[in-house]
Amino acid sequence: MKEIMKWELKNLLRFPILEIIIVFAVFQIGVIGYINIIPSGGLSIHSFHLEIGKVTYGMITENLINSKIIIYLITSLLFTISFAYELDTNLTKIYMSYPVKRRDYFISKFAGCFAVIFLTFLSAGIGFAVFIDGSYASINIVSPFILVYMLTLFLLLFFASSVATTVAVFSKNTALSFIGTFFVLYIFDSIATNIKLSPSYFLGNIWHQFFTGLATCHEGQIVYHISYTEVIKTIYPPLFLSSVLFFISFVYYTKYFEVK
Amino acid sequence: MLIEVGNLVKFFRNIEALKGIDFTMNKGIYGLIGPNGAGKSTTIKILLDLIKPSYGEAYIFGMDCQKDSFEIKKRIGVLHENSRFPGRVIGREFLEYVGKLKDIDLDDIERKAEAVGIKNALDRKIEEYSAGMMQRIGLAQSLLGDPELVILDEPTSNLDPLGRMEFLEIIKKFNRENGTNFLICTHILSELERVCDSIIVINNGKVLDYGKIENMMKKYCRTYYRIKSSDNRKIVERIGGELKNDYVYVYNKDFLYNLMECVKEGVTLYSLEEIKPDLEYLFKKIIEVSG
Repeated sequence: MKEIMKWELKNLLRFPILEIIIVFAVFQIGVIGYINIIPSGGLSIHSFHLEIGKVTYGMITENLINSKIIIYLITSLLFTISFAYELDTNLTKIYMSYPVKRRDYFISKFAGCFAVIFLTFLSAGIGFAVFIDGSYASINIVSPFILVYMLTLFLLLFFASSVATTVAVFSKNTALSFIGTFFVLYIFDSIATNIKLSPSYFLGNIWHQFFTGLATCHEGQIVYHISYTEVIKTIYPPLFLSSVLFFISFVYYTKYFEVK
Repeated sequence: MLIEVGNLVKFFRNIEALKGIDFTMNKGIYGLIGPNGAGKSTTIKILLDLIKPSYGEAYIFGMDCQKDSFEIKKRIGVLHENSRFPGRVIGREFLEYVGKLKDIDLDDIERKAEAVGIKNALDRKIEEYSAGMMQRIGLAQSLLGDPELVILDEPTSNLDPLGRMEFLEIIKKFNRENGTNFLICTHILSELERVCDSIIVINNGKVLDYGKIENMMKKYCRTYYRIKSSDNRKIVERIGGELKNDYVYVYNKDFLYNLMECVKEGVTLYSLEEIKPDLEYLFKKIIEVSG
């Protein structure tokens, strides 16, 4: 599995795929507004920095959620190249004739695409937070704001990736996979928004819960009031939906998929 | 026994592509022959667990092709029809990847590249390869790690005549020197005759017959004679046979005395040839006999 994963990553990082994703990520994360909420009075300097960091990451995360179309587009492109295009060009037939377990092959492809997009957008997000104001951006890997940004990105990307994989393995056609994935994601998102079921709705909840949620100031320190129940309630719908789609495509690919 | 296939049936929606394929393959070079759409590639895909059979069983080295495909693929090499290897990758890089998957000594890459005549192009991108070089790297990857069995699906379809001859020579050499067994799937029969000891004849989703070529020749064909003379009608009257395109075709050996008599009577003999049937003739005969 290690070898397959390395090979997949090597192929995905070849010019110009990575460059295209970086451009999109920078464009998406970079189109953000100014920090217009400056916390005041009664805060210690630590809490003041924390609050500035919160606002910075809050805006980056909100921007990620609002311009999710770019994530959908990138995900459609990468997963189509990885699954459907390889099928169309007979490469899957060649690779599957080597001693490779279908399970490993599928997971390597999925994880490879996922990791490339996730890490690029994560780097772009953190990069912009530093760019906005390095000293206030709470640059620390265990910073709750970075973790929330990562969680939002993970959920959005996991949903898009699961849809993209499902469409790619069932359509087995490059054009159909790319256009199909994008439109399924877009239409699903548009329809589901009205009935409060879309990923962006729940991701919006995450943003709301974590960045604009309850916080009080006690003896100069900010105290956040977010219960585990609220967190679970917020993230389980997209996680559940994505997991079901991932499971369907995984079982189909490993048990029933025919390389014609 | 290397391959054993029993009552293999495959439906693609309502179309029955395989209608109960049965054959066994022992050591040697086997040709899986049949016209386009006969079911050759479908059979190979089932052997490689790329598609699932609707019914039936397939075994390689005594192992189930569906359940033990990982173990089987460690011991076989494959070159698919019209293989397009990843173009933006350097040849050596691709072979190293295959070598790592097969868990073999990477020094074998140089040896196999040299054996198939592609060593000088190993450090070039595959997209820069000609069709002939593409087939050679395909053969090299299939031979990596000295597999016991190599399956080649239409291996010479993109090659010019000289390239085909070289390709077949490499196959013969590996069989002779390393004991590599080959299953070659093709519809170009003239090539197979030069390398194969045995054939499996498949048509319309069924195996019509299989076995050693010489045994099949004895079973389905016989040697015949072709005579051209100044009076072909007289020859036919005396020795039998049939007249076709200015030649007399005779299917038994006992005509020599009567032929000499004709010559004595003034018929000029221009040519007398013994014709041994080729694989194409054998194939036609098997199809005819099987209805």
